[in-house]
Amino acid sequence: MNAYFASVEEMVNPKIRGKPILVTGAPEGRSVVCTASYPAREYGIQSGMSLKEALRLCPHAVVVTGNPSRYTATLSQLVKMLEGFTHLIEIASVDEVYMNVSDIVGEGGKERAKELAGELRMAVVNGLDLPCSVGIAPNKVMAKFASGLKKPMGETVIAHNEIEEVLENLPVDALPGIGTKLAIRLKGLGITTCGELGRAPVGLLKARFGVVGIALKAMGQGVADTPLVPYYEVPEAKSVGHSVTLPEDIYDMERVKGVVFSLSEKVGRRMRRRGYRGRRVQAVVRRGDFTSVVKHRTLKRPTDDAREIYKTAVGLIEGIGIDERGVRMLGVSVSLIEIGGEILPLFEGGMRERALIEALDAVNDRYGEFTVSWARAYLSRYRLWHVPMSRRPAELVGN
Amino acid sequence: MEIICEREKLAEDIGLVQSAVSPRSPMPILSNMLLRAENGMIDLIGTDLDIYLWKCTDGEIVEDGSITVPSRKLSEIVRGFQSSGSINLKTDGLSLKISYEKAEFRLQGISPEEYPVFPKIDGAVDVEIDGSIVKTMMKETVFAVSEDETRYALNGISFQIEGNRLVTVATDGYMLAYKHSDIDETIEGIVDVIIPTRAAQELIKIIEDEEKVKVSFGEKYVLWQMRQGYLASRLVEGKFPNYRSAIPEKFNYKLVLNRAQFLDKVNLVSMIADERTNQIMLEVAPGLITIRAESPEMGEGSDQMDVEYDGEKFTVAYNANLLKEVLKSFSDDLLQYELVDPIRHGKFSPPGADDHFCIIMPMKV
Repeated sequence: MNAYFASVEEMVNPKIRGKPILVTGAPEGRSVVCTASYPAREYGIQSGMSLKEALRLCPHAVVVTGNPSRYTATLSQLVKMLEGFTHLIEIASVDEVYMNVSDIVGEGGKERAKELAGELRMAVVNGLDLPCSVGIAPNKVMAKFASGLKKPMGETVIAHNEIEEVLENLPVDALPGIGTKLAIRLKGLGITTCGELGRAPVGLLKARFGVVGIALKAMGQGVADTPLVPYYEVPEAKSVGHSVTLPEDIYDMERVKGVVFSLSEKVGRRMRRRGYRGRRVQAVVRRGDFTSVVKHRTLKRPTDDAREIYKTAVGLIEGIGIDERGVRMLGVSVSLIEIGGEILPLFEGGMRERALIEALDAVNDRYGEFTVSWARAYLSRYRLWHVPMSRRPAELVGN
Repeated sequence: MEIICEREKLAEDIGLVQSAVSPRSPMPILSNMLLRAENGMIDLIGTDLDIYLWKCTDGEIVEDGSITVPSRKLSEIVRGFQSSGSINLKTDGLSLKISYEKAEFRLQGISPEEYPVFPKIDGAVDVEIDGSIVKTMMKETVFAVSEDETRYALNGISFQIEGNRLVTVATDGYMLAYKHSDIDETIEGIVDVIIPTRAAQELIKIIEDEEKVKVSFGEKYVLWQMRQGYLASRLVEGKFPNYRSAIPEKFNYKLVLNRAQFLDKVNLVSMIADERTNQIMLEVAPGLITIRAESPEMGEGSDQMDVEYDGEKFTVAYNANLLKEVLKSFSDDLLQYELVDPIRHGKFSPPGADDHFCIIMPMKV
């Protein structure tokens, strides 16, 4: 999808259509640009740039706070629509899907593939009013590369016999998965183009990059056999986590605790919704000077209870310590996931606690996240979860 | 301060006291051990503020005084000398000079004035208990304590004395271990405290079977006076749950089995249990129990053994680790296993005994 978040915002609010749009994480503080619309990019604005910097380049840009639920809902619509072509769809990210179209292209060759690319792109435009680019190629790596060649609203087909030619003089970092740092290391070996990468002795690459070396050589040759994983077969998560970059550094443990509670509640909610319980709790603190500390603790019994996740995470963070450098980012995650296998509580009180958590979940499912939560969650100054204004308790609005 | 001690005895005593010192404390002084020569006694004291260990060691006092030095380093150095002989410890300002034969070390210390004071137990109830009794009771219950920090009152053993009856109970909300014994002394009033898990684990190591342990219960601390030394422990604050209400009066199924054999088979079959849930199934039929486990990725396995049972068939699921912990906590050859029903409490106890049992909860299938 092209400038996905911005395009979705344009779709729901036609008044801002065609204007330079900046979609950001939070309206105030030190937000960054998540997505800049194409008109905004003409001012030199890129994703990841600070909002302040972006507004300096383009003071009249429209700033929109991101609506994650809107983007995932639109993605669901997209997938539903694409199912008209094939069920073999992999969701790679919120704005990117892979489809296995081998059966549709069949014996039709490049001509049929070109037609199909057009059909797909028009289906998205007509059905969702969103711009996208389509790439069709023999494998996932090449398809992603192809989709990136013409942006926005392009169609590119790379046939089997064209791969070698396309790759020969292509810089290695043009391939998805090879970043600047990797490119520099490859340059150290005298490899700058994909052609050179494909011809490099596998032993050399293996010695330098380990098993990744083998994959790199394959990428240079335009060969990739990573299978498409249909979205309905998505493997079980290995961990569930949330993190937040704070609008401003905080120095006070009580405020850290408030944020950690909100994060723990989010993690707990997500785990319970999927029927997960986990034994390892991990906390991440990134300090004001950008140094990060990660600590984890393994519990004896798995949990999905926000309060237990919170207590464990706070214990870890107290061990890490808050100092004059302040806290820039906080993260909480739970791993060693178990599904099912719940031991029944021995005390009636344990059963009541469980019933209480289930009741809270039911209310929040119906009326929106954080409609009801533990008092501690409201100590956090930041609303980490989107709650519709109409559903926020009056005294908390503007908090 | 200057003292001269036998190296082996000193190493042993330092090792004991060191177990109370927290290895990674945010306060440097808490990584230290207090050495004190006063009134003809040589004291070694270590603490993490939750438990305090105080040991009087043998030796000759050349000069009174005190110092605190990093506990682990001190222990490593004294152990490192290896052979037996006299060791000389002498303070020099805020450092400690350790001399042994031709070896010399200087350890940087911290002023003893900053060291936490060993708690005073006042208004205490005193009682003397056989070492073997208190040690067994703690051993047979401590495995069931909770590590869940949100349920603070379960992070220890409930320790109650009424008349001459001593009761210890521990639970994590999924299993519960109970043991009672009668002691020689009869006390007035009631003792009802929670001993923190770490204190119990240390006591199990320190208490000797043949000794009498003198226990003093204060408001916030409990003091254990043993041959090996003194241990003061902060009591767990909070109210231990009313465990009696969670112990069913009536069980619908009852069988007797060989504990060691059953544990072996549970160990064997649980090897194939789903790694994430550790679930194993017990299928009980007259005269026979089948232990079964399966994991979607690995496969399945089962084993059988004879049991004394003539009731109706039933199947119940347990977390294998929980079941193993419960079975291992007993030393009896035979165990009686009772169950209310497959979604309620199960109970293991030595047949005919009412002083020792474990409650275990099944898994939701």
